[in-house]
Amino acid sequence: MWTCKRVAKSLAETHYKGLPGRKRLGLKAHMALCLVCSRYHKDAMLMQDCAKALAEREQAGNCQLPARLPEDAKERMKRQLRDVD
Amino acid sequence: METKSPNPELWVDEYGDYLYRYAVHRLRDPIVAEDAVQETFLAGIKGLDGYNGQVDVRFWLRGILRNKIIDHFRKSAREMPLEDVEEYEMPDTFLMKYSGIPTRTPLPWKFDPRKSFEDVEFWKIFESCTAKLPERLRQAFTLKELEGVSSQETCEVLGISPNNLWVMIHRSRKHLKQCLEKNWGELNR
Repeated sequence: MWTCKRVAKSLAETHYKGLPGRKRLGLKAHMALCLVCSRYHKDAMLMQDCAKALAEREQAGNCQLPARLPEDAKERMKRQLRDVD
Repeated sequence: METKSPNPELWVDEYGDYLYRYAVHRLRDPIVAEDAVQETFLAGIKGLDGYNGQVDVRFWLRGILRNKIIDHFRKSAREMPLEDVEEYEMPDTFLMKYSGIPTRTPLPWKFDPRKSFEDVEFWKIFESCTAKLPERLRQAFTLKELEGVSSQETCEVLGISPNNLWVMIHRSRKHLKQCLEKNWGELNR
C-alpha cells in the first residue's frame, strides 16, 4: 500500500500519466481511501493535465498570444544567416 | 517528413513566428525572445550536420530553442536575490512530515477545467494566469510542468533545493487555481 508521502513524492517528481500502470493503480487506490491527501493530489493531477494540454497546444503552434516576429528582426536574422552560411 | 532545408535563410519565414510565439510565451519579454530565436537559428546552422531528418525541422529548432530558454532561466536565476528563495522553505508542520502535503486540504474546484479544454477562451485565460505568477514561481512551473524538465535539473537550473521546488510548484498551482476560478469558473458555471 502506498503511503501519503510516497504519493506526494511521486506526484511532485513526475506527471502521473508518466507513471507505470501498476504505480498509477497504487496511487489511485491510495487516493480512493485517503481523505487526508485525496483532494490535494486531485488538484495536483488536474493542474498537471492543464499544463500538459497547454504544452501540447504550444507545440502545435496554438499559443493564444498574437505574437509575430517583427519584420526588421526577420531581416536582421536573414542577413546573419547569410553571413554564417 | 520534412527534409533538411537546403537554405536556412528560409527558416526565418517558415519557422520564425512559430518559434517567436513559443519564446515570448516562455520568456515573457519580446526582446529576450527575439534574441533567443536568433541564437536558435545560428545554433541550428552550426549544428546542421547533426540533424538526421528524423523529426520535423520545426521541432528540431524548437528543441534548440528550449535549451536556450533553459539557459536564460539559469542565468536570470543567478541574478535574482537569494532571499527570494527563503520564502519557499518547506513548512515545518505535522501535516508536512506525515503526508508530504504543505497545506491543509484545498477547497474543491468550482468547475472542471478538463471540460473547457476545447474552448479557445479558456486557454487565453490560462495563459494570462501563468503570466501573472510571481517570476520565481513562473520559472519553476514553466520548467517542471510545461517543459517536463526533471526535478533534479529544475533545481540545478534555478539554484534551489528540492524542498524549495516542492513548495514553489504547490504555490504556483494554488495561484493558478485561484486565477482560473476567478476569471473563468465564475463566468462559466
